[in-house]
Amino acid sequence: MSTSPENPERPLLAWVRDRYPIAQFAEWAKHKTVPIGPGAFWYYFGGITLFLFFIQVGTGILLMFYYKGSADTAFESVRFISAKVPFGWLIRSVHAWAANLMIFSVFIHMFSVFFMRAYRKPRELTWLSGIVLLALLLGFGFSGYLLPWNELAFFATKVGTDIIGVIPVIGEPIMYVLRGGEEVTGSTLPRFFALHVALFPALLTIFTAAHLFFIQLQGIHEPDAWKAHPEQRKTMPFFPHFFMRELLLWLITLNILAVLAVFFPAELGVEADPFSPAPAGIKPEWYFLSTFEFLKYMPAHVGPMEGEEFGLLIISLGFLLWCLVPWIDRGRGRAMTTIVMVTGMAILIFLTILTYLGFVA
Amino acid sequence: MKRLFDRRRVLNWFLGGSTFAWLGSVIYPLLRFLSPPPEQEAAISSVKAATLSGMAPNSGQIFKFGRKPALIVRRPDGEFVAFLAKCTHLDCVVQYRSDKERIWCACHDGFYDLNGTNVSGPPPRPLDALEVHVQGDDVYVTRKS
Amino acid sequence: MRGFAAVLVLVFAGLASTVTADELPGGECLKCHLEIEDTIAELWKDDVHARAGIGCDGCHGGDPTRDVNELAKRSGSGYQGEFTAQEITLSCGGCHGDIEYMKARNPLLPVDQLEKYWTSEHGKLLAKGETRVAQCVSCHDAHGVREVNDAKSPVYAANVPAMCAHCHADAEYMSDFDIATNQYSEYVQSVHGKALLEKNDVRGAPACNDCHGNHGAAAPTVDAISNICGTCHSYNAELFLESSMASAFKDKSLADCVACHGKHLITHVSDEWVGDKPGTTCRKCHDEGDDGSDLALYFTDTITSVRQSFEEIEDLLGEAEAKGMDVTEGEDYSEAARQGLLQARTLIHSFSKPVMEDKVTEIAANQAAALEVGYAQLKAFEDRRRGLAISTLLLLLLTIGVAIKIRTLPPLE
Repeated sequence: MSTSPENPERPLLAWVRDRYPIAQFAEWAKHKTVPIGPGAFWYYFGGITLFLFFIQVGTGILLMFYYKGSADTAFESVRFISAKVPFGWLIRSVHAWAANLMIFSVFIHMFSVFFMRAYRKPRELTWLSGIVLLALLLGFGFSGYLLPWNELAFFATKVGTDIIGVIPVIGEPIMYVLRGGEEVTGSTLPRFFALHVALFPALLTIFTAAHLFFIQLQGIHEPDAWKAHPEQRKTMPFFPHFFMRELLLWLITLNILAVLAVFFPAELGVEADPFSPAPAGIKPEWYFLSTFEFLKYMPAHVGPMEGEEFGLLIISLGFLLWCLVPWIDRGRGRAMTTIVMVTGMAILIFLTILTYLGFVA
Repeated sequence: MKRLFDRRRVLNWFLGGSTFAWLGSVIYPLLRFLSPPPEQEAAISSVKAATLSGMAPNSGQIFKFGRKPALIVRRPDGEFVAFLAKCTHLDCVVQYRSDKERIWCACHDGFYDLNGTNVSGPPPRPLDALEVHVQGDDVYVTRKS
Repeated sequence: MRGFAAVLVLVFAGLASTVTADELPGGECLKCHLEIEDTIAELWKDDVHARAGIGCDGCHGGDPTRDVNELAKRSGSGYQGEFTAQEITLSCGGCHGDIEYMKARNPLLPVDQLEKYWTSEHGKLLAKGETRVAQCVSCHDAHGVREVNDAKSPVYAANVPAMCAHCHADAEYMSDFDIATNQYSEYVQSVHGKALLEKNDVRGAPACNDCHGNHGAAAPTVDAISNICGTCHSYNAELFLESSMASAFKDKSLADCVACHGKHLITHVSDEWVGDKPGTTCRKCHDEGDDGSDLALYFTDTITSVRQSFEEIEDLLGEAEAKGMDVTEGEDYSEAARQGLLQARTLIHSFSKPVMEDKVTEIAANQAAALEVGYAQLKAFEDRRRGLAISTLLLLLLTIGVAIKIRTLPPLE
């Protein structure tokens, strides 16, 4: 116990201080602030997404204690978790719901960042790393969905990988590698499992670290209005004010997950049978519905291209523009800014309507 | 000035106590989850169906393979064969007839030989075969690879 | 007869070497009859005998090397155009009843068809001179004879009922004979008829010949019936023959199986058949209150209560499933109980209360287990909600604590 004049009551802290430069860290932490204002509510969604990711890692690791990832055993092991393992139903349903909430939250986060124009200099790389994180989360959703090996998942994966195969030139080889063969079979499952629990988590950790690092280095983006009206500037210290509020929100989110798990438990479905015909009305998960619906509306051919190829091309172009928005709207002209904002709103409305149509179709 | 019931202490105790209680309500399910349940998963990839010492030659018994009924037969020559016990005619559960050295379905007198081939009566197809592995005294049955 | 057979053998032996893959045996006879588009000749290409190398003269005699009608059919050539019914049997039976002859050509075919035929009702009547009965050609045709397992053959399992009905369902044709003509119309409505004719179960479902025999066709005698039904329904027959009913039936000269199930109009059995009320099958012989009726009452009460339990199980498991709980184990128990009920219905044929009691105990155990699963899942569902309520309450307390703590933080500038 090293007590000293500086730390009469905190021997542990003194021990650490003697060895590591935490003083600097403490200084930085004390000065970290978060803007307050009308848009401040949106600042929580990045943190909520991060929290949900922690939940996913935790419940995911727990599920791995019982999940058996091969075609003969996957379904039965998930049934075992849901029916026999104590609180297995809770862990599984929380995992399923948190996945949905996390993607929903990341979309809110991304769009709120967009409409606050926080992508502008100096935060271009934060924006790009965020897009990579979005893509990884969608990858998590797609790969995880197959793991229970039920009928819906099997056919949704078939349709989803079919769409990947439409990409010209590289699409088919990618589809072949993803599927582990020509068709979705028992060989597909181990690959998706490896992606879901190893590759994607590793990449996500790296890119999340980068994303958060950039934010710590540059501080949180402040509303544009403050540039013109500095007197409106009001901030809140991150520790402990914002942190406590965030913690509260995290706790409430956890409870929401528990309520969803109890009242809307994850379905087991019917075990996948590669030889049975596809049931009617196969749909992907809600976050892929807009793409799915969009492709359905394409005509059979557009010029020399297949309708689906054309649809994918449009989506890819749109995605590319979205990635490049920090360079399109640099904040130098009001006209460009307005166009970009209106386009963004249009895209949001478009995606929402397509998703809704996908549900009711 | 430190009073026993000043607001700050009460608040901190309350906060600490409710955190502790709430954490307990989270950790308890996690700990229960980690401890494996007494009944193991219905093994469907490999099931211990019988023991060498427990089955005489020219006998058969029904066992559960996953959720399906299955039949293991020890042939007169001592070797084991195993099949899913669902008759291919109308899904009745078959049984071993040591008097005939055949597998028999009581519903409509269908017979299968010890290769599972349908040899007499209405069954249109052979029985679904399973693989048998003997390890020491234990006889394991797995899906056909 | 033997001389005739000898002639046939010689002629066939002579012709055997002349068959080639492209050439149908028949020589000039066939050529001419094809030219005049005689249906008989056109059928010949599908005939098994043609494929075996037998020509027209194999049965009809005559000279197949002559292309002039009168010469081919001249006297001394052995030609016979039309055959009488008796002559048909002798013609076919001449080869098909000759063991050595058939051994050299198709060793698997039986050779007792003609022998059996003379024991059949058709054969007995024909021997007495009645020509309106079926003989070889009536069922097998003369010139386009196909193998039995050829789906186009009139003796293919699925075609047999209609073929027999050709005569036996014709009231006018059968008017001089003292038998009913409703067998076919009853058969097509029966479970056997539907299985064979609608579901095409040629392996499992019986046609007329499976019960009546092929060549020795006759109505089974009363004491033969349980053996005949028992060739497929072996367990039911075994149970019945070991039961007290078997001797009772014998004493009263009642037909086993048929007395309750009918002979041609065999329909699906329903649980309502069993009981002591008028209209039940048991009441056909038993009076209310006698031992038989009491047993019937026991059977019907037991089965009714088993079925009611199934309804209860379905409701309970359905309720649990609708709440998102997993009830597959309960469904497994219920399925085992259903198999048990199937077996119980078969065990009625033992007409023994102790036997049924054992089975019912087993069924009841499975049903009880299914119900237990249902109740356990409903309870688990309630437990989940209760657990959630507790943890939400604790969270609420924690939320209040944190909220107050936030308010105690130093105020913002």
